[in-house]
Parts: sequence; structure tokens; C-alpha cells
Amino acid sequence: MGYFLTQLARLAENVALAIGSHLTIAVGNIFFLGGSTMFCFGAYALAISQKLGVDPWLAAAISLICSFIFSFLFVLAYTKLSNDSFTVFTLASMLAFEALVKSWDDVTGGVLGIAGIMRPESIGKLKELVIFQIIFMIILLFAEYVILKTVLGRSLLGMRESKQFVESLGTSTKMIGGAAIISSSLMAAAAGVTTVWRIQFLDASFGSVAMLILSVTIAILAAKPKIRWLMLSAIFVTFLPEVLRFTPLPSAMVGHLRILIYSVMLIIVLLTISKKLMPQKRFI
Amino acid sequence: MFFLQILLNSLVMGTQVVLLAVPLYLVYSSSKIYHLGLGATGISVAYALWFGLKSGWSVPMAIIFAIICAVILGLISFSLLEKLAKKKEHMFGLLVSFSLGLCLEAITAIMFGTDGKFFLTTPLPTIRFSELYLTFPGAATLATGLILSVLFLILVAKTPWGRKMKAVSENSYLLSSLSFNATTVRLLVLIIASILAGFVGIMMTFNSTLTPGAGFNLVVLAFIALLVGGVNSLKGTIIASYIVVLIPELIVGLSAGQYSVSLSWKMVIVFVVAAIFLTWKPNGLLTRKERVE
Repeated sequence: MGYFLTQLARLAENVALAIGSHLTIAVGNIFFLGGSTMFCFGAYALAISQKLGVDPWLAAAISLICSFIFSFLFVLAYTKLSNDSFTVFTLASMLAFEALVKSWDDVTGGVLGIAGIMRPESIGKLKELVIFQIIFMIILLFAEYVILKTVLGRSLLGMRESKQFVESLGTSTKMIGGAAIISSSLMAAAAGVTTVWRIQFLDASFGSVAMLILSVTIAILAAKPKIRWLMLSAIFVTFLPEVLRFTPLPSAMVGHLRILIYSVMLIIVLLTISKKLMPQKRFI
Repeated sequence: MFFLQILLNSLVMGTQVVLLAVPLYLVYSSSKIYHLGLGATGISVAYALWFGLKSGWSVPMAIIFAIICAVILGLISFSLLEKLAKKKEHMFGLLVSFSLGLCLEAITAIMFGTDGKFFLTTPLPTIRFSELYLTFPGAATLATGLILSVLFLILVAKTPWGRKMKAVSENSYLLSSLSFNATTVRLLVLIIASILAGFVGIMMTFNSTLTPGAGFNLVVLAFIALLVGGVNSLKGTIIASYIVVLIPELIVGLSAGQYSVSLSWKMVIVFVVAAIFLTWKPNGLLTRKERVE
């Protein structure tokens, strides 16, 4: 039962994290790789607030507010840099954040991390937490569905086709891109908050490249800007490496094999279905 | 003297970044793709050399084996990136190369484990200039970096080969009409880039330990240098490589007392420095504004 609940919780966390990547990469063609950074940032903001004695729910709110403010750094980079430079910049942010967490040990606990992070009383048991995470995942999926139907979603889809075209309709692509990045960051931070409530421990290895490759694989495998595709993709990507658990491999190797599977999957997906991800070229 | 020692160490590290930033620049110039897998390629080549030496092969034999591995990795990169370079899907190219890097990291971790490996079990031989010390791999890195930087600066700016390489990414069809094969140019560039990355991987791990993830930090540093220097300027990239290494090293080395900054802050400082430079000069230090017609 515990294994089943943990897998459900992981699915909910992965979906919450991947919605942000889906919104930016698959919908808006903005290659924002800062999701993993925001995932860690949200988790650390929560853990530090709780360490200072703040109530867990209030700590979650503080974490989201801090994440909202921090995400403006990415928005600034998005408005200043070219697409590919922005992508590398967001990727580098992951390393910088990891270094910050390891170095600022007075606050973050350094490499030892922060242990004993309490869950709110109302979701104190794993079963209650999983129910909460699933409800939260559904809310986020619904939020993405709504976003896709609004001006923001339509403009993002338009940006995928042609930025100039969206600009010509009087919509600022920088503002739309910025809004997508902020939404994506908040979703990733929220995923970080719920994950840290589940594992109740946090250290510098939290998030990192593994989470990044996972979220990007889900977002790119989903390919189409539809939430059902995102959900199917998340289920597939979350449960595929679980096969490894039933093999007699040492646990140290399983982690690397999981990354290997995600990376190979991402390469195959990018090389085979990339046409579906990119808008069709039209010749007039 | 302490300041000079920091400067010398920073020069060695800056040269390592240069040696990785140059192949990144070459790949970018020929295909407009940021090859994020180059760091892991370099480390894989270093592992190949280590494996050869540990298996009791002679040094030349182990070096030949490492070069063969570098060429194979270059060919793998080519087979994965060529299609995307032709279609001008550069962002997918970036993600594919990133995934390739992670694949290589995972494979080396599975094959050799994640514990640090050493090329030499004895202390590194050093060269002494008055009170300044420099390790032999450090000196080799400095010398090779200097020679290769000058060589590539001349090659890219003054020779038909460099012009052809840049032309490939701009308009490969036009280049083909002039009877040049764009595919061959990209293939050669990727093989050269893999060999250079392998050299950096070996030199870097000679100075420290060999771990599967060691290339990732260096490749990100090299990318930051490429962005800060300007993706279209090799000169800017070389200068920026030293800037992004020197500033954090000086801050860490010269900070003292209550305000001392530990070495683990280095990557944070690099990121802040890069953010400042990129906000100030988004197109790079030495990139001039171009007239669009």
C-alpha cells in the first residue's frame, strides 16, 4: 500500500512540475530549463520558513511568494537574452542554486540538508497527503486548461507559430513569455513544496539534473498542447523506470539507469516526433 | 606573491575553460547548436585513457585508444545532431546534446562507479618559479591553450576553412552550390571538438579527481564564457573565459576575516557575474551591432 501511495504521490509531483515545462516548452516554444531550480527554490523556501517556526501552510504561502519574486530573474533574462542563451542561462541557474545551497550552510544546512520538515496537521498521514497532492494536481491541470483557453494561452500558441505575428496583433511577446515563465516557476515551486512534505527531508541533491530531465521528457513527449497528452506522458515517464525495481540490480546503479532511460527517451522523442512539436511550415 | 599564485591558478583554470569554449564555439559556428554534451564527452575520453592505463597498456596505446573513443563520440554526436542542424532546429539540438551528455555520464557511472579515480597516485610533479608553483598538467594546459587559442584565432578569422565553417551555418545550400560539402565540414568540426574536449577532460582530471559528473560544471562555465564573450566572437569567448574564472577566484582568494568567502561560492559568483555581464551586454563583450538588411 505504501509503495502504491508513494508512486501516486510521485506521479502527482511529476505532473505538477511538468505542467510548467509543458506550458513553456511544448506550448510556447520557450526553452525554459529553470524548472528544476524553482522546484528546489520552492522546497528550500518552505523548509527554511518551517525551520524558523512558521506554520506549514503559511510557510507554503511564503515559499510561493518568494518563488514568484525569484522568477522575475528568469523573466529579466528572457527579455534580455536570445532564445538559446536564455536556455543555457536557466540551465546554469541550477548549478548556481546547488552551489548556493551547499555554501550557505547556516541557512540551508549545506550538504547535510534540513531534516524533520513537518507536514500540516490536516495532511499529516501519507494517505491524506497523497489525496491532497492528487487534488492539487487536478487543480493545476485545470489551471493549465484554463490558461490555454485564455488570451495568454492563445498568444503562447501564436508565439509558437510566429512571434512577429503575435506582435503585429498588439500583444507583447515579452510579456506573454514572462507570464508563462512566472506560471511555470510557480508550478515547479508548488511541486517542490508538496514533494518536501512527502519526503520530509531536504539536501543539496534535491531536484538537480534528474528532475530537470524528467520534467522536460514529460513535456516534450506530450508534444501537443493538450493536458490529456501531458497526463499520459507523465504516467508513462513516471512508471517506466519502475521496471528496474524488480531487477536484481544494485540500488546505486538504478539511479543512473533511470537517468539513462530518460535521456535515451528524450533523444528518441526529439529525433522522431520533433515535427509534431514544431509548428508546420506553411508555404504561400 | 599570494596574489600572483591565485592569478597563475586562475590562468590554468581559465585555459581549461578556453579549451572547452573553443570547441563549443566551433560547433556553434558550423551548426548554430550549443553542444552541451561536450563536457561529458571530454570526461568519457578521460575515462578511456584511465581504463587503458589501468589495464596495463603502454601510454601511447592508451592515448590512441582515448583518441579513437573521442572520434567515435564525435561521430555519435554528428549522427544525432546533423539532422537537426540541417533542419535548423537548434533548440532541439541543444536538448539532444544535453541528453547525450547525461547518457554518457550515466554510462560512465554505471561502468566505472561514481567514486573518484586518479591518474597518478603519487603527488603531481610541479614546476617552481621563485615562490610560485605550477603542476605539470597545469603547465601543459597553459602551453596548449595558448598555442590552440592563437591557432584557432588565425584559422577562424584568416583562412578559407574558417570562413567556410561560418558559411555552413548561415546558408549551407549556397555553400553547396559552390561545391563545398556542408556535412563534411560539420562532421570534421564535431570530431575536432570531441578530441579537444577529451584533451581538456584529461588535463582537468590530472589536476583533480576523475568523476562522471566532472564535465558538466566545466561545460556550463565554458557556455557562460561563450555567452559573455559573444557567440560570434572567438576573441570575446577567450577573454570571457578568463574573466569568468578570474573574478570568482580573486573574490574567494582575496576575501579575508569576517568577510571571507569559501571556494564553494565560486559557481554562485560566476552566475552573478554572468548575469551582470549579460544584462549589460546581452550580445557579448566584443560583439558589434550589425546592420540588418
